[in-house]
Amino acid sequence: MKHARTSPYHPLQIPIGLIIWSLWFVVIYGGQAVICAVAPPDPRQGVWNWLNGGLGLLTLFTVALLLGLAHYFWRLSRAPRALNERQLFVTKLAAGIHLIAALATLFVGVPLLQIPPCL
Amino acid sequence: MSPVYKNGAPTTDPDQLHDQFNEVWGNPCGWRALTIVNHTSIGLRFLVTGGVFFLIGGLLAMLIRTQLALPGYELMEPDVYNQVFTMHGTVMMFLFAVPMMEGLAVYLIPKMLGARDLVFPRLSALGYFCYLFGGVILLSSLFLDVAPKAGWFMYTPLSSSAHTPGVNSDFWLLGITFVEISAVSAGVELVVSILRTRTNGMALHKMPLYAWYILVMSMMIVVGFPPLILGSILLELERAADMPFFDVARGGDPILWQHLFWLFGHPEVYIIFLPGAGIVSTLIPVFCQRPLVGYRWVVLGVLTTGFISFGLWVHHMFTVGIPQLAQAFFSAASMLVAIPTGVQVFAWLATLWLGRPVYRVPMLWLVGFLIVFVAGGLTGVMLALVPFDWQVHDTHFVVAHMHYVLVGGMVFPLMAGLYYWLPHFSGRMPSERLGRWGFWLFFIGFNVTFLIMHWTGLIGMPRRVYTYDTGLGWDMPNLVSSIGSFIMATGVATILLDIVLHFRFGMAAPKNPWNADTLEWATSLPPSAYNFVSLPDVSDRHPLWNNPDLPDSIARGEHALTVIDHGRRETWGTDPLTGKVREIIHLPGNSWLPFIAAALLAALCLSLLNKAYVLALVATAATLLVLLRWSWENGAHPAAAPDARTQPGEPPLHSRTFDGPGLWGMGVTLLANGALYLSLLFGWFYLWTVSPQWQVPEHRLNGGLMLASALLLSVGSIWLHRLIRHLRAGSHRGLLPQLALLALLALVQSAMLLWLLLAAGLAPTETAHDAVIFVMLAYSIIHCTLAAVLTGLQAWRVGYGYVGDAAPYEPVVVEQLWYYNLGVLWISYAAIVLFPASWGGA
Repeated sequence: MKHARTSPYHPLQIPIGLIIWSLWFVVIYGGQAVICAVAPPDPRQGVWNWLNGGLGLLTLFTVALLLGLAHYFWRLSRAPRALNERQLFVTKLAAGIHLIAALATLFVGVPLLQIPPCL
Repeated sequence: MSPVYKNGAPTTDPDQLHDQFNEVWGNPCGWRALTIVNHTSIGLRFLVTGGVFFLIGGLLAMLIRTQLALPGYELMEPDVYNQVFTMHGTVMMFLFAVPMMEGLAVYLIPKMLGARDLVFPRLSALGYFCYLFGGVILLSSLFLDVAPKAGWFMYTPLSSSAHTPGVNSDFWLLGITFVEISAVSAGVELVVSILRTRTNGMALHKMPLYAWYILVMSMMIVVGFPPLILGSILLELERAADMPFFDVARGGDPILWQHLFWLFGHPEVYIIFLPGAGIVSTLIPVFCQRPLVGYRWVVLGVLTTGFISFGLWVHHMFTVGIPQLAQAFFSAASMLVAIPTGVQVFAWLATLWLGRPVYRVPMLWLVGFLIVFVAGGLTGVMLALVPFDWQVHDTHFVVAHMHYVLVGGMVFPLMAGLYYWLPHFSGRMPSERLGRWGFWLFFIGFNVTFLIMHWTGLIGMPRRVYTYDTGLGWDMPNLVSSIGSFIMATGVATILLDIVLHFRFGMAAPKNPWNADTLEWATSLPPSAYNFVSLPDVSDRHPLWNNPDLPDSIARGEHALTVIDHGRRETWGTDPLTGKVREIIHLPGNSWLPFIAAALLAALCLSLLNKAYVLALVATAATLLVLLRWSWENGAHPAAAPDARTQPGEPPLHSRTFDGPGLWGMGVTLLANGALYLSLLFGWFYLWTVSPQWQVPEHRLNGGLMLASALLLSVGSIWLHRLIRHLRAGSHRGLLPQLALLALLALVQSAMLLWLLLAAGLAPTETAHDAVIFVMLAYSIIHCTLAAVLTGLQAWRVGYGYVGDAAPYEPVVVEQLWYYNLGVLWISYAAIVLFPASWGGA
């Protein structure tokens, strides 16, 4: 059976979580660099400034999105109707990848709580 | 003999079948061997050439260790030493590690997937010759005493013309770019082959793990190599044409080179390691005689490693003054990548634990790999910590870590793989005794050399110094390292002796000598040029364990696609997900075109080195003509597949559908191309934001002209889309004139861009700002002109009857290039016209 590219059983779903992680990574690294160059927050504010806050919110949103998608694919893999072996492979792998991407986002984002952005 | 049908497939006398197949697939001898495009021959050529480069790189390493064995010792002058260590790193990374791994994959992948060849055999041959010629050009610099000498990562400004005025750096930049054509082309080919040519029933989740590793490695090459190709082009333009991309005084920034280099350079480590890990995941189950524990976990680990490895590049630049928060992101990502690698290590350990491992020579190398690579991985986690990295940056600690990772992660698994597949290459078994001697000498020598080197670095010895004074505490560790390196060299010599002798004295290999589970052992030993006379269905991950008679039934022609009297080279084209057959892919035969194209590219490389630019233009034009001839012999052309008939019940030929491998090949190539363009875009914004003396000239680009060109391209793309929609509906009315008009439109649109470039009054040698705009516009002009030429070619082919409703496939391939050009031109418009206007610049 051939699945449309948007189907949750299509293998394109497998790397989506890590693609989201990559985009998030580019945005926080690039965003931090650009903003530090053009409009750096006051260094006296330390960690708690609008830039770290904005990047932190973006990080939390990304983590929530990835966890939600991980949960979605995990539920799909345990659907009441029987999935074939190939569909199980895609859904379980996609669930795992999304979960890993969520944890990776959280782990790489932790320094936002510890380090001012433009030092 | 008339065919007898069994299980729906024709069978006949195996010898007769072999003769028939050999007539179509056979390899010529003598000079005509240069025309061979078959993956088995090309893969072996990669491996042998890579082996020779390894020995040359190893010889350079011995020179380094001899020089450093004693304090104050002067075997080489400092300048020669600089050339030697630069070339050691360059040869090992670019001429040995990547090509060897790709060569092994080129050899193995079709066999493991139950296919007869890779999808683009002529591209395989072109890749090999580019690799060979590029490598020879690069190495020739050593003998001319003008070898690169700025270190294997060629940092600017040391590698720029101000500090390296001769042709030394040019050899590196042009030679490596030439070799990278080979790496990227093999990457494209492997991706498409893995996704589209698996045998019937081999769904994605039944694919051998090695194919997963190679799929990820190839995608990483496709995305990871272009930043370095761009960096090399920019640096060569700076050196040859004085465009100041990396010159601070004129608005450039040398740190941009570091970003571009390590955007390639760190994924490169995993590009080398992942195929090594693929070998480990293939061999451990065989020597334990049980499936690998956690197939899905390992796939998850491989994919995660592939992605996260792109988020680590700045950890090579912790000392250049990047903000602490950014360093922390990369530090965290660098620690993180150890986890998916750890998942794979635990899967291997669990398989060893649950199986009954037999310690033959390949297994010894695997155990060596586990010890050495895990040690290298742990020092990698140490280096991911910013303060520790600052402490040991550019010391011998880093050299030791790098060798533990690269030799541990690549050479040890490669040696395991070579010993394992040696019967495949030769039909003979190697000597167990010599093999064990070779392993132990190498293993002991390696650890004596590099374990001690960690301490040498910790007590402060910097890398790349050509000598040192006595009394610094470095004398003894250096001497020990040098002794170790000679022990390791003895190990290499023993292995080499074993391999050479086994061709003469080795016992004939039995069928499937290791009782392996994967399809490459279902061929004859050594294999024929067509691999399998009949293509079997596969229903699980271990076809040879579940059906040990499969090699015999394949040889008897009891499976599919056994008719050969049409004279075509054929293999299955399957659905990338399900592995169900959906077309027959017909492949080109032997050809001089790849050799000629590579020779012309070599001429281009040499003329650029000699600054003979007219000759370079001639070589470029000649190469283009040869490549157009190459694309001419496709589809319904008499030299390809003029007769589209297939056997009853078989699917159509790919060139008679809308979805052949060329479509996927173009897509993956454009992905690589897109990575290069995005790197250029990154360079533009990076310089704009970070360059300490960024200068925006007074003049303004003619935004209206660029907008008009982009709009014209948009109209052309919509027109082409509608044309192809009609073609899909079965109508090719007016195809020829419309394609010809589209070619004309693309030509006009390219001319508008050229006008824009010439009339802009850019001063690309005065500011980095103008230099980047120049490259960005030139990039679009070249691509849009190429689209015009290819569309015109399609119109011409319609006239010959090679393209039409019966063979509608090729315009769909060209269509992708139009969309790509469209996206690039609009992004460039936004970047160089709209963005500066909104930020108050020109």
